Amino acid sequence: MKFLDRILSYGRIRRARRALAADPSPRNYLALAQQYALADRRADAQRICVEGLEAFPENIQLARYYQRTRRSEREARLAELHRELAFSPRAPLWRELCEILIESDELTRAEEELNRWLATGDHPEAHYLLGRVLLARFYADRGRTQGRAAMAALDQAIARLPNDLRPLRAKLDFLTKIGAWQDARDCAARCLSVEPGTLELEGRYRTLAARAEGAPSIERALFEVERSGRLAGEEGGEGVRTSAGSVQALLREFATQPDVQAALYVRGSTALVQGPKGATAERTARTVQSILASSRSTGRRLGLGQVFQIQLEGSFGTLSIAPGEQDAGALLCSGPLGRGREEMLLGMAGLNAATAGSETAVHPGGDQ
Amino acid sequence: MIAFLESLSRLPGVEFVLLISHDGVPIAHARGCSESAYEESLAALTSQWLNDLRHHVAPLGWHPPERAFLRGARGTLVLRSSESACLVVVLGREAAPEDVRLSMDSVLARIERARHGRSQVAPGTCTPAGMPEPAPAIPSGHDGVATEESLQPDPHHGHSPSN
Repeated sequence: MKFLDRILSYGRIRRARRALAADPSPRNYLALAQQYALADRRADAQRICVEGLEAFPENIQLARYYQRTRRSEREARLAELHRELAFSPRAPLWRELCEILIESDELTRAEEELNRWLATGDHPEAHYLLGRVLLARFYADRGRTQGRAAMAALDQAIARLPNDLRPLRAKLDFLTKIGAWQDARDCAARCLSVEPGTLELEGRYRTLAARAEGAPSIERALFEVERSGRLAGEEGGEGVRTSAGSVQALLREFATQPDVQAALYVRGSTALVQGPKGATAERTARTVQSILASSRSTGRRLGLGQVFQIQLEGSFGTLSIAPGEQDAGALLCSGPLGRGREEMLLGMAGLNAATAGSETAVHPGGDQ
Repeated sequence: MIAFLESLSRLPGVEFVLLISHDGVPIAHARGCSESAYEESLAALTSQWLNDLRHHVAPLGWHPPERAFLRGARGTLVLRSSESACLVVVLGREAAPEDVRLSMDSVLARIERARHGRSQVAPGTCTPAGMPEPAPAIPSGHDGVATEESLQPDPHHGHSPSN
């Protein structure tokens, strides 16, 4: 059966390649990648996705398919590692398993595996990886509890690996990111004692020493991060941006649906609004931004982790907001949201689109 | 009331069920699969969020939301508000707010009915407006007067069994 499948897949792949050569569109790239994935040629599928994304960097479907193929490859490797660990458990396998899980942001699974590893003995490397897991969780959630847990785990790892720079560097990054400059300076000094003469560390030490005076304590800095949801130096966070055009196309698509009253994309203090006009658009955008801010803060305080959907229902209809790290999509409709629209909305969050100079942009935060 | 909440807490994925007043005072709670006891902080944070939402939607001329949820990476907070109280459900990662929509609506309706029943329905089966209760469409053995066991001795004119 597998042999027959392989023979049949050759023909399908050949046809998809010809179609792509004749018309190199995102759809044809996707079709060829799918054929490769069906034939169990994941590396080829990824190569086609990368090629397609180079030609069409804003194509969401190709980007998603690329992520899916990468995920399936990771899952295959994880299954192999689990099989191997069942027969002969050893530290390098545990480490690879946990690193894959951490890199793919599966923190709960990584923590479970690390606890299983630690149950077999006191492995210093496991403590360091546990510190990384808790650190990643703090960076995602920005809650005080997670911050304290990450700090405690890193201290344990440093105690077990005193001459290893990795846990010390992780702690230095953590302290710098929360703005506890004085403790960060002390940590940089400790890093230098492990690796004396490193120019980069010396530079960091000097910068931190200049900021140390009047710096908040770790607990105060964690409180401030939890309150604001921002790490130190994150105010003007500029990541990779997609163009405003792709977001506006999505907003227009939403707005054409009969029961949709407003579709919004919010980033910083700027909002792209489709539907309401003038003062109503501004008020709607301001409301969405306020709801977003208070909901993110509540989510952090409740320990719910990174918030990815907020929905309000009432006599006004349904207002659904899908927050990304720096942006959010929102949809106000008179009826229920529905599965399809919910998925589209969730896809809008995290696009990190440019909003300046857009014709539908309103600046509700401009006067604050 | 706790019995109502417990039926909700037994649903798969439900970690905690809490009934709070609109000013954030916990009225009753039931624990699902969660081990932690955090009703005080949950009540405070939830009512603060609900109040914030009310303030935020007010400039648009909207009424306060009747249902709201906050979905995060490690769980979901679902609120269902009625005129007298607010039902809060904390769900685990694997559960979706839609899974508890009907159950929350029915539990809150039962709580409201119980509250109205206690405060408003007098023993003489009169409604608050003083109108007599309409006769049921189908006579039953519990509330009709046709069955013998439901006849009560008249305290003023009849004879008590002991006489």
